[in-house]
Amino acid sequence: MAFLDNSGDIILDAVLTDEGRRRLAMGDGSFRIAKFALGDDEIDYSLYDKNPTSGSGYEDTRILQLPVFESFTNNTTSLKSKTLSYSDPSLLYLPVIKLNNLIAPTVTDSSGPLGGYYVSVDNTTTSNIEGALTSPESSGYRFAQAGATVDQSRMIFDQGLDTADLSLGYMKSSNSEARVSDLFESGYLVEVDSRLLGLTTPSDLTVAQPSFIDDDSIATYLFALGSDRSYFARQDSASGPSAAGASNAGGTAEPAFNIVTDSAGTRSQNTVIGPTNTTGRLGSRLIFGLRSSLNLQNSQELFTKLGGTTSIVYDSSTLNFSFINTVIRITGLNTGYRVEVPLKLLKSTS
Amino acid sequence: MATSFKTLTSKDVTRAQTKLHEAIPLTGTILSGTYSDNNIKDYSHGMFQSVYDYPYLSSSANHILDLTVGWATDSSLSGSSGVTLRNKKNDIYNEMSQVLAGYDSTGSINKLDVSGSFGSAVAVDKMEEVLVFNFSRLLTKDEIQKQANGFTMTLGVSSSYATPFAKTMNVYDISGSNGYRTNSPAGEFNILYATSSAGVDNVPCGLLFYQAGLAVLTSSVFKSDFVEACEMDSAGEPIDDLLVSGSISGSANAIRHRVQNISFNNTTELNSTIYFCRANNSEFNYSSNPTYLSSSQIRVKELSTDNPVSYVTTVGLYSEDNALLAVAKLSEPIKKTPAEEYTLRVRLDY
Repeated sequence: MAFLDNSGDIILDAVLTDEGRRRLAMGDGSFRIAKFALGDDEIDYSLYDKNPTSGSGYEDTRILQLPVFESFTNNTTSLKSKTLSYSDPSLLYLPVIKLNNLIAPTVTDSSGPLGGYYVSVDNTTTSNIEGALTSPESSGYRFAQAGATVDQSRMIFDQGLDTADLSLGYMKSSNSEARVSDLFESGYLVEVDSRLLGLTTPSDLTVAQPSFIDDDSIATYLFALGSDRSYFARQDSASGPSAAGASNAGGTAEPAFNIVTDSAGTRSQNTVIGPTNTTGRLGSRLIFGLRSSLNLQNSQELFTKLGGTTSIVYDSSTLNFSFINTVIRITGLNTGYRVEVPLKLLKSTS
Repeated sequence: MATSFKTLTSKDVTRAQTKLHEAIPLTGTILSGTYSDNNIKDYSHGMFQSVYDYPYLSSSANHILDLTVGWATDSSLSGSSGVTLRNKKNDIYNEMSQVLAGYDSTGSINKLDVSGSFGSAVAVDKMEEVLVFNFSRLLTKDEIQKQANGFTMTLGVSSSYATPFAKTMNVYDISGSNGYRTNSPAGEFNILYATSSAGVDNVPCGLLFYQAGLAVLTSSVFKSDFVEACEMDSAGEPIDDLLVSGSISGSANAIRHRVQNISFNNTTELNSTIYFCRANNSEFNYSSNPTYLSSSQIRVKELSTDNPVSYVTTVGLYSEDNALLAVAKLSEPIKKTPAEEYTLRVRLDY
């Protein structure tokens, strides 16, 4: 009789991240490890072969051979994707978070940030853009200066089951399956470079307070449905399209994340969840506004340090800008799904 | 409800202390001229001499130890004529005594005592003329390891200056880990004993301070009290004459000339916190990796009855407010399904 293989004992040496070291140095008790998560950043699940030619057992041969990086010490670089716990092992669909580019269209010109926005940081830039372009809000522009309207500054993210295999419905309602309502996202982490941008409520544009700002000036905002309803879209008829006046599963922000029934039928409106407006399951909708930092509004310093200059050609004119490329990250607190939106911050130079 | 984090309870966290030891062999040639004394640094203040392992003007040089000498104000040498640097030698002795032997009940500085009883009135045990080896923190780390014969120093004690190692004497801490003293304000220490085939058998000759990383020898080791009266310089001066009329640097040169070897083990106290990250069968089987889904459908499942699969490469340790404080990496992806449970031991060293 052979011995059992006991080489499976897994002992790992951890390294502190830069944020971990900073908190340790602060000595104020903010360095306290309270929980853990497991990550799979290196894994490309498209390599999983459900029907391997070599027979069963070879489905993940290529995945298991993927090399693993050493630890990154930058706290925002590691665990970009996490493994998740769902009590139900029979789930076949998981929710996604998508930038809503129907209500706030993204950039389409080739010099812009693909799938993202140009962001004007001050009044002069906004005036120049509005003078050169009709309805810039519909052409991938966001305005982040104080005084910008809600429609001009907001970003909208829709969460849900984005599949044609499921008929249209809400993820969380009185008549939805429990295992589907478990996939409803009720909290979001938003990360943004605090030197460049802040976030505001979508209704009255009050500046939000970040949960913390790390050593690299990345501010993390936590929005939870229970306490931050003004960042979550209203969702009427939560118990289903036909149950008017049922409890509201969403928040108070507009535009609502609704299924509507009218002369055109029962359908979703202005959502990117579901390949058609009669399929997919709607979860939560996060809305917030952008606000450029005072430094960006009043100084060229960060543009010189972090960016460059560019010219954008419009129909009748060409405008010159200083620019900074940055990214805003949105992560589902419970579902772990993460989406990054590229932003190109613009400040007029002429 | 989906979760990507798992809270660590008090049962999942434990602490451990590990002592790491390194062998430190110092060959006498480093002290006595491998680099034509370019690795020996004298200072204008003349209070001590530093020994490096490489010419000290090079950035590759590491500090090894400092050498100095001193004698008490009421030493028998104090009545000698032609005393050079009397104050500095007295100051060195008093500083060493003050730090290593402390004060008596009246606030007077205790004398260094070869018996280890600093308050003792036994005059014969007092070391009134001392040679000090002050080892660099780089070598001793947290302390010199306490072990039987752990610290050994081989001195050349032949009377001839030209052939100092024709007779040698070993100096060592005889009792090591089983017996040491704690009555020094500088931490734990032990008595150094000398033994030589030339007729010396375990005679107390100095003190070794483990945590301070410092050895103090009586100047008598180079007198006939031990083996032979040694010629300490090319002029044939005995140790007492050198301590009276020579500079401190000159005495340090003479001592280096008679050191054949020094060896000891250092100790680094490693404090670790071990986090037991337990992934139960129903946990962490799904992923938020963008490649995990295709149109919201899980790629690794064909039917809802198929087991979910994830591949873990990273463990992240988080604060309560979701800041990533530490990261540990696996050497290869591990497959996580409802059929497996893992306990990942993540060790964080301080």
